[in-house]
Amino acid sequence: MHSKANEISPGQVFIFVVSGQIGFGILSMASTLAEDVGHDGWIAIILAGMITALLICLIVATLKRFDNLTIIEINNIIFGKYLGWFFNVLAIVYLTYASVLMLRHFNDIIRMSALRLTPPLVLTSFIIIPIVYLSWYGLKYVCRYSSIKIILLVLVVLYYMLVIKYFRFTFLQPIGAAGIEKILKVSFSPFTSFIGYELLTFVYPYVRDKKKLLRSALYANAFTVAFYVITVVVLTGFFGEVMLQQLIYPIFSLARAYRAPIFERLDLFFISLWFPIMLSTVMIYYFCAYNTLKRFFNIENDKPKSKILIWCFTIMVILLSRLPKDMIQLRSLFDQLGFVSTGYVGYVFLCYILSFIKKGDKKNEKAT
Amino acid sequence: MQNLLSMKLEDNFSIINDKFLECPDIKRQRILLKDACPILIVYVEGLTDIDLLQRDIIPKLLELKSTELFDENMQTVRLPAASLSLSNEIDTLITDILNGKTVIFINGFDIAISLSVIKVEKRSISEPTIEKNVKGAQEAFIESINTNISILRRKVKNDRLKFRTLNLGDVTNQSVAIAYIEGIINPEILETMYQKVKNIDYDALHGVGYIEQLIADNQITPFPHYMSTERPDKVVACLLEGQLAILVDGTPFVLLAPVTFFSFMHAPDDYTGNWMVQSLNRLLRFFGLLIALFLPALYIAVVSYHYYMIPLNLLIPLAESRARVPFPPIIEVLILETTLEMLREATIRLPTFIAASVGVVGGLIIGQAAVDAGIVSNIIIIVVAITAIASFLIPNYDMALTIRYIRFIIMFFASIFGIIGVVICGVFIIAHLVILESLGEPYFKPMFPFNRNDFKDILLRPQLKKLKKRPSLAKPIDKARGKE
Repeated sequence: MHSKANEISPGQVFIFVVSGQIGFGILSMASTLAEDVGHDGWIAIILAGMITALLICLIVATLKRFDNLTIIEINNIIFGKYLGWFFNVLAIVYLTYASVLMLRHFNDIIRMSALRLTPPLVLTSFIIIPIVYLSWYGLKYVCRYSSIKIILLVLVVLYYMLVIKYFRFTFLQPIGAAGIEKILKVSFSPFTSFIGYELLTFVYPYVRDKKKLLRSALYANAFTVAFYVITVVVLTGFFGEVMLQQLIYPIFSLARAYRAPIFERLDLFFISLWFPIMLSTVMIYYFCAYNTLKRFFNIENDKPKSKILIWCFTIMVILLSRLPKDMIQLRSLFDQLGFVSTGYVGYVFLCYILSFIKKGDKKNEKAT
Repeated sequence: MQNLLSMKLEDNFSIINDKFLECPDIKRQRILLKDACPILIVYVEGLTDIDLLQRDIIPKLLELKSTELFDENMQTVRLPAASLSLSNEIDTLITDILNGKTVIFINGFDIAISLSVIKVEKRSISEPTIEKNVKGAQEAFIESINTNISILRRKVKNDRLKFRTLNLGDVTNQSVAIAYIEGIINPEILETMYQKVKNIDYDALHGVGYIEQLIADNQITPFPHYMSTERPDKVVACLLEGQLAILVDGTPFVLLAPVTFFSFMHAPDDYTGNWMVQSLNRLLRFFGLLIALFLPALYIAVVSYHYYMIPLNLLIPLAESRARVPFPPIIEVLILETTLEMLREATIRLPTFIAASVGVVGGLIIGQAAVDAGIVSNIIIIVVAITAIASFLIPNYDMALTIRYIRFIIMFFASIFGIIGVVICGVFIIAHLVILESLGEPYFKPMFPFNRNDFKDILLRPQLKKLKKRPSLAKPIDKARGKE
């Protein structure tokens, strides 16, 4: 069916999910949470993580009903040729939309933190090179590269240790001051930071050992929750909720707050750590979009056509990433992305229900 | 039938004469046996031990009658030779002659004798020249494949050490041997490699590098796919890990496969010393690798774009020194780096006594004069010198060259995109390393994809007792070292 270059192990599923999840949302999550629930953001994260875990179970259950198929083929089975085609286009638009937004966001963060004057088109074309390069070779290589993210995230946590002496526990007290009702309500909002797991619907057939898939995905989610909780707790304990509300990217502000003994500004190194992390998130979305397009046009084993496709798609993504006018518009688009992906998960849920109705048809198909 | 020998000596003689027209080194000598039967002795002068031929073989021949030469079944020969074979095919005999054997044609027989009285001029086994070490064996391979095989056999006294031989080079007819240890090597890997080597279609192989390039999976890469070495101890160590070695006649280097990126960062000395000290040595080497790759690029990025990262106390002298320099940092670094690379390339081919003085002129005089003349700044001399020293830490020559080459690319992007250029280049290098494969095995293996057992012997060097499991890279059948 598919080439070996796309085949991944359950361990790589872990990396895949973590890469999809941790990337952009965390950068500003602490300040949005501080605005809503003050210093109790971490409780909301744990709750949101639990909901995400449930959704992952749901997605995997849906996929299990159709073995060896991605959402593209599932759509065709459930909705028939024409309606399925329409939903497939929607899925591709969603993936492209997500990768374009992330690429743009990545580009803006680089411009903000390091290169203010570089023309954005040049910069985008440069940072997309590794993304396209690995996506061209396949999912296995994308996941192999993304393993570096785990090491970098550990380094990020180690960097937190440098500022631990300014950490004030009183900033986190009293626990639960915002009230359970508010926390529960807010726990549905950091969803945006957890998106990434829904990409499993696009790569399911490539996983080698499908029995272990759910476990790896849940571990990955737990890893993400742990990292988010550590980050939000450190940031809240360091800045305090009042200050936190005014920061755009509190993680980068934390880096600037640290004064290294000899080097004047160590923060650039810390921010540089984030570039490969963000890059791999963009890469995962980009790969899914590109690969889904390949499956959509049914040219998975056709190299010359894939080459044309990846060039066109890359140029399109670069150009589309220039569409948002400024950071404010980008930000609101990003918030919408959270809703869109939640909607997508709801749609998968719909597929799950419909799969029971269509089950008879499917059996007939298999028989013939 | 042209391919078979004729009964008449004269016919055979004319065939041989036609074949070896204008080959003065191939001697054709006719002598008579005791019963006046003429025979023809053909050999290559310079490949044959003429003393032995003259002293032992020819007198014995003169004593024999032609009928006494063979036994009844025409299977064996009454000649004092340690190694001989019989054949009636002209092509086989011609190959034998060219390989240095002495071939005897006898009148009245359609079969000829090839005797192995070979004596080739070759240099003796000497110390390794480009892979020196401290405590390991001090011998290196030489150009003769037979000697190289004997070196390996001496080191592994086991019948499981096998050599699969074949001939390559459609003009030069070189013999090639694939060495492996039966019971450890994965037969699949052996078969893949054998097929690959067998399918090489080229006129000559002047070195193992030819094989490496002709069978590489991914052609668009600066990284070496397989490792060439001149050290027999390294080859034996790799054979024991399930890898295979390709020996080619005419080159003192042996090719090892499959290998990973990290194999190029390890030296045999790592395993002969104390594990703690050698672990630190290894860490030093990896640190050197990072410096060799990124230091000049970081200098360019920081000086051009992120000068606020430099400590204030250092910024003032740097600014003073830079103020006299008319060039941007990238040009400044390129001037010195290129000079240094030219110096390195020059000293390789110069005779040793000139090379030393070139080193002095290049290193000391040009460096200091360039600073005085205001072409480069003081700090860049330090940066370039440290980078050069660090790049010499890489134990493998091919890999060291690759790293030097990549460094220039990173420098170029650092001058355009600052620190982002460095980071994206680093990401791209890793991206490139993870897609590479050596004989179907991941090139960046114990790191991405991660393997715990292999990984402990990468950055550090654990105690030998903890290395009882062979690395999984070559997928050896026998997974454990030792009998248990």
